[in-house]
Amino acid sequence: MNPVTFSALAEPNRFQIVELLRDKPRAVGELVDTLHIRQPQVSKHLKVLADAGIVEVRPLANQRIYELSPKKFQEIDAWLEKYRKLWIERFDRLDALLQREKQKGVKKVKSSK
Amino acid sequence: MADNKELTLTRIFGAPRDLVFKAWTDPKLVEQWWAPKGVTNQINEWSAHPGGKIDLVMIAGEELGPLAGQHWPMTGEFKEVQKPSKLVFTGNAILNGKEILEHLTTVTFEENGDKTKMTVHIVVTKAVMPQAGMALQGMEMGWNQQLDKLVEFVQKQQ
Repeated sequence: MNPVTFSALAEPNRFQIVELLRDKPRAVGELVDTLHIRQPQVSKHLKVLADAGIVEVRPLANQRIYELSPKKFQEIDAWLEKYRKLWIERFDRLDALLQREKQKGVKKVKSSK
Repeated sequence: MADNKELTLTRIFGAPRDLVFKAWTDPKLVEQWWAPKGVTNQINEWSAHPGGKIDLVMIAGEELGPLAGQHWPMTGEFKEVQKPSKLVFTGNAILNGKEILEHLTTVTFEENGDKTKMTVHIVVTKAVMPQAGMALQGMEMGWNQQLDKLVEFVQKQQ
């Protein structure tokens, strides 16, 4: 995930919009009603999300229906790979800690002689 | 929402098993390796006994620039604790007040001469996208930015 996507999602209202769209596609009016914020603000947030490639819009009759962009959300395998990497980095830090703790043990033995 | 996804990782550490087990069960030690550098690990609870709770918050430091101050809470519970060979615990990560990640982690420790073979098996039972990706993004920034510091630290130890 790039920083643009990240900051697009970090704003609480946009976060909420994504939550709502995760359930199903919705028209702007429905988002306004559910979120209780004014339409210009909802539209502004939707534009940020669309520019970041997180949501897409399609017209339906005289409505604009927003939905989550499908390619963003087949991410689970990529996510798992990153999660694996997080753990490997953790192991590196654990290794460093273990070496420090071992050295403390050695110092204690030396100082008691 | 994800189906169950699993990860298995193994590493051999040049340290006795009791020490490796202690590194996972003593909160003062866990605090020193759980979070990436640049991220503070605030451990409210890490009670390594069956039914014991896990309650911690990772807080992004200044080094993470635009992410500074971000909070990544995690709660969980120890299901099994067999000293010094096995730990099983659940973990739930929370973002903006919503649970975005749920996992069950099993850690086993085997003696290997004066070394320890550690295996971590994680079953991810829930990963809410894209929010779980956001949380990882933060962690990744932390470790990428601190990689130079880690290299420096390791060189000092030698």
